[in-house]
Amino acid sequence: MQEIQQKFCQEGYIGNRSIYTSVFLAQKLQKPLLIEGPPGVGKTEIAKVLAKIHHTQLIRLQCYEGLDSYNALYDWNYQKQLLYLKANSDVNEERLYSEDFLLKRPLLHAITSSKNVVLLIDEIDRADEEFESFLLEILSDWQISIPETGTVTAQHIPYTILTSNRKRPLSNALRRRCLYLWIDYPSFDKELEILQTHVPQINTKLAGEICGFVQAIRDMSLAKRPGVAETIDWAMSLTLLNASHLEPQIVDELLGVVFKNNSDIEQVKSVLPDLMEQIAKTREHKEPLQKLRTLMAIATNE
Amino acid sequence: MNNFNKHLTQFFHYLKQQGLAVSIAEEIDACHAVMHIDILNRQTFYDALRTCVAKTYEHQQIFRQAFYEYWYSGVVRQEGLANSSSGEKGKGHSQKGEEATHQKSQKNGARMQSMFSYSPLHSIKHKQHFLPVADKSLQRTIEQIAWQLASSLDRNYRRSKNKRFDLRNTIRKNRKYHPDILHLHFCAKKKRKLKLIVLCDTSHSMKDYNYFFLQFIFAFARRYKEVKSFLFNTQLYDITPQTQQQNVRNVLLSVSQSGTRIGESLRAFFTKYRHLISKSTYIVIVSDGWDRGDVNLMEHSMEKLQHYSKGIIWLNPWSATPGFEPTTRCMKVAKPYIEVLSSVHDLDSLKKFSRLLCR
Repeated sequence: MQEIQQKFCQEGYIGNRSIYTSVFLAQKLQKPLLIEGPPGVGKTEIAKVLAKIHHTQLIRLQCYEGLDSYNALYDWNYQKQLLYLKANSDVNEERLYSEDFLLKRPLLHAITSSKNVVLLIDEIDRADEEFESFLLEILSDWQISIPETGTVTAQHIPYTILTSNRKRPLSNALRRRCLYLWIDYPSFDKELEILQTHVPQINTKLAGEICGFVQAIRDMSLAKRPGVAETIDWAMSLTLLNASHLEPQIVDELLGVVFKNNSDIEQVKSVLPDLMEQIAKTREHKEPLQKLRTLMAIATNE
Repeated sequence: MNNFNKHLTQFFHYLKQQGLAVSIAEEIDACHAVMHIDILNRQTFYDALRTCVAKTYEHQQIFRQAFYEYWYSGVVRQEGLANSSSGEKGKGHSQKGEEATHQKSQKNGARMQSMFSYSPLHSIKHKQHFLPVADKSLQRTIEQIAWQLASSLDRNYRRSKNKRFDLRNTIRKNRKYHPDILHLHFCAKKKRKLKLIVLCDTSHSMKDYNYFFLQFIFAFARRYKEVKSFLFNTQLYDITPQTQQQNVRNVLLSVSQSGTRIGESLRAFFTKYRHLISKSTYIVIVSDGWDRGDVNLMEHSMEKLQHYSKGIIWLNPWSATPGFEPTTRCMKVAKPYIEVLSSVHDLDSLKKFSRLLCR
């Protein structure tokens, strides 16, 4: 497990122990890993890093409303079949439904791969319930039934990661077939570490202020709370603008980088003077920025 | 079976007692998982078991508590083990021994009851007429119900089981390839999107109730754009833009709480916002029906609203009270035009209301 931790860190993924344990067990038990959590906390990134550390291919299936087996599993190359029929007068049905005319979609591609690949089924909650039920056979038996040719069984079981933002509840049948991992927003220290890894040129003071700000903001009732991805984007933007610390004007100008909703921006703007004041205080008194969250909570209640 | 496996099995049993439905497959997974980890490291042991048996965020919270109770406090574990070992040895025991075991299990049962008879979530679920408390877990649950409803209604495409071959479109799109047909076209039915208009009475008697219901409507409106929200007392207020930006408390504070004139308000709504109503629109009126306005005007407005909309849902906070009868002057007049008379006063009724809209 320590090996996984090391490799994840080498690839720039700073996680916690429960993440490493879940990934380790998913590999050992050859079970899919269902990852849930708020948007932007690094769910999809786990699959990407996993592919990198195993030097293997990442096959991604992005789920959406109306996704069906023709787009996820396989389809017949109808045009090619038609041309083949025109060119050859003597054709038997078996030849027409052979692998030559089969269009492999991500799931079949992952199952028939000659080595262990990483299969990412991203945002499964966006797909319809019918598709979720259809996945059950694949995730439990690692096989796919194609009516025209028969059953295809996996040569190598792919490392499978499913992610969900909990837009709709997933079925118990799907959950039972997976190991489960919940990823929450990181703690102050963890977020600081992530920021310093992803934006190495950032100064520690600014990074600390950014993390303190974001941590305090996450306690507010917002339509979309900023994730780690937004924190990194914000840090990059501030670094590009050569900011050494957070100033009210620059924060106000860059709110659109962190908040993706007008109502959220308005709400944050209303508490911005308080927040900036608290940041300035912590800066003057050299108090740890972790306290910002508590200070903000007190200020808001007052 | 060694001692550790016994503990593990008992722990799964204990999880089931706590309401975590652990299946046999998950138990087997957990047993396999512990073979791959260092079980002396409690944190790793905890993570491994949690990954295998707790499959939702809420279940992880239950698991966390159960894990600490079982493996850390040790009381539950020791008593459980003692019970099971006495059960194994008890075949040849004397009657005295059996009595002692029976007493012990009774004690254990009583202790378990006293430990777990209170559930905060259960009490929240059935609490009526919510006060404007800043309960985060409650807010989160309300938001979750609203989001689930929004996401189920937002899907205007429904994959039809009998996806039909669209011959007309196929022929039209393949004319240039004549006589071959290169592109096949299929069609599926589209689900008509539900529209919702909420009219909420803000008189003083509705204060607490409104706070609870509007929390749901605000969360719902943030995710689902087909919601129009209005408040009314002696006049009508369009709060649709505010649902996107402000919190419930601020909106309610900005509106006076004096008197109710439902008839006049409904007429004002129909005159000004007639264009919002269609046959896919549900009109939700939230009021206790205590009104001093013109009843004839109200009847006329209700008739028109019913005629042009999909249906009228009336949410009366008192309708959940046993023996409730709509006997107020206003409710008697409105009753023939109401499709559903209900109440949304707790989480269960809120879920019921969501299901009604999904229908």
